[in-house]
Amino acid sequence: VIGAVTQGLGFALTEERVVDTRNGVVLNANLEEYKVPTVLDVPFIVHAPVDLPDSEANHTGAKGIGEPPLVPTAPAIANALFDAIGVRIRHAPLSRPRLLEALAEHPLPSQHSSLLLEGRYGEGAAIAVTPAPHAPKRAEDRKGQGGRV
Amino acid sequence: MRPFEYMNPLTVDEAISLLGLNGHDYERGMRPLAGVHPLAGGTDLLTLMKADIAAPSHLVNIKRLSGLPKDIEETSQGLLLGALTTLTDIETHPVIQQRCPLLAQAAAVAATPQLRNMATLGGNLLQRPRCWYFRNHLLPCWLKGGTECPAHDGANRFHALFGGGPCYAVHPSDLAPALLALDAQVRLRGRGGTRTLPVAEFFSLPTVDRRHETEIKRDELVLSVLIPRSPEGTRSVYLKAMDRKVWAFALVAVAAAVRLDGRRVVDARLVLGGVAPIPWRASAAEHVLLGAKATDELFAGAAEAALSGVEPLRHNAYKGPLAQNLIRRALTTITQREVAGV
Repeated sequence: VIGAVTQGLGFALTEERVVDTRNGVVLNANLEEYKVPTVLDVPFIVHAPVDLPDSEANHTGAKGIGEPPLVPTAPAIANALFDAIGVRIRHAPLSRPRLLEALAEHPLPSQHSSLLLEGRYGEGAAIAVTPAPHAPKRAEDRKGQGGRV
Repeated sequence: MRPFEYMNPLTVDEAISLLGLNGHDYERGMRPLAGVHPLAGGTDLLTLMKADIAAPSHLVNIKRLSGLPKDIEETSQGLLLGALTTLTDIETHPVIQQRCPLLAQAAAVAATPQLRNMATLGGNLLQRPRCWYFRNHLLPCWLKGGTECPAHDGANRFHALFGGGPCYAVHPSDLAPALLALDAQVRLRGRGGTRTLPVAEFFSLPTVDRRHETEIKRDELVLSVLIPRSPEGTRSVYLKAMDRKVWAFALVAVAAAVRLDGRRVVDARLVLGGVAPIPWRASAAEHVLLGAKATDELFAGAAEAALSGVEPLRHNAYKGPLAQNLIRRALTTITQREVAGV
C-alpha cells in the first residue's frame, strides 16, 4: 500500500516521459531526469490493515492489494490542488510550469501573493508556489468555469 | 564504456605533462571527447564516459598528487579551498558555515550524500551540462561539435533564459553561483605556469573555438579556489528550486550576499544558477538594491529588474517567476531582522 501510494505521488507530481517529437528519441530514459520520489518527497503514509482473510483464493488467507492504492492517489492530489487554488490541472504530472500556467489564467486573489515568501529554506518542491489556504466556493466556481470542472 | 588506460603520476607537474596529449575537442568536430583526461571524484566524467559523450584514451589519477590540496586553509588573503576538497567537506566545515553560509548551503543541497563524499570542488566547477541533448550520444548538438542546438526548438523546459545561443544548456553547478557571489578566484596550473582567474572570468559562454563553459586549457588543472574575506556584516544565502526535495539539479537557484548599514543596502551580489550556460550575475537587480532601504517593495523591484527583458524559450518561461520569487525570498531571508521593524 505504501509503495503504491508512493508510485501515485510520482505519477501525480514528477514522473513524465519526455520525447523529442522530431525524432522519437526518449530524452529522459534515466533515473536522473525521469524523477521518481525520493524518501524525502514521501510523507508519512497511514496504512490501515483490514482483517478480512480470503481463505478461498489460497491457503494463507492473503489478498492482493499492491496496486489499487496507485489509482486514487493522483486524483486525490489534483483535487487537493483544486481545493487550494481553485484551478483544475488536467495533465499529469502536476508540474511547476503547469501550475504557473494555470495560475496565470486564473490568478489567485492578491492577498495570497505574500504567501509565496513563506516557508523555510530547503523546501525545494514548495519554493515556487505555496498552496494558499483559499477554499473556492464550490458552486460559484463550477458556474464561473463553465465546462472546465 | 570504451577501454582506457589508467595513469598514476606522483606530482602536479608530472600530471600536467600528460594532460592534453593526443587530445581533440568538440570544436574540431571530433566525437566523442578523446585524449588524456584528469580523474578525481569521477562523478561527472564517468557518466559522460558511460553515455559515450567522453571517451578518453587515458585517465590520469589526480587524487593522490603531492601538491594538489584536498583541505581548507585559512590564509591572510582568505579561505583557500583545495581542488580535491569534497562537497561534504565544504558542507560541514565550521569556518565556511560561519563565514560564508551560502557556500555550505550550496554544497548541502547538491546531489546526494554518496555523491558529495566523492565529488570534488575542482570537478564540480568543471562538470559538463546536464542538457538531455548534450548527454544523448544519438543526438547531435552544437556543444558536441554539431551545427545547431536541438534544444532551441525542442524540449527546452530546463534550458537557458539568459546567454543562450549557440548553446542553450544551463550550468549545473551549485557551488559556482555561490563562489561568484563571494567573488572567489580560481588558481590554475598548466605547462605554461600558474595563473589566477576570478570566477567571473573562469566561467565564460562557449564559443565556436571553445565549446566549453570555462576558460581552462586542456593541459591545466584547477589547484585551488580562494575566497576573499567578506566585509564584516555580510549575510548570505543559497536557495535552490528543484523538481523534488533532493537529488535534482536546480531549476533555478539564487546565491545572494548582502551587507546592510542600518536598513540601507550597501553591498549586494546576486547570482542566478540554472538560467544560463554559466552562473549568471543579476547586475540589474544589484543596481536596484544598492543604496536603497531594504523593504519588500525594493526586493520585488530587484526581482523584476533581474528578469526584465528576458525572452524565454517555448517551455522555460516558468523559470522567470520562479527566479523572481526565489530572489525575493532570498533577500527577505537574509535581511529579515532589519526588515521586521519597517
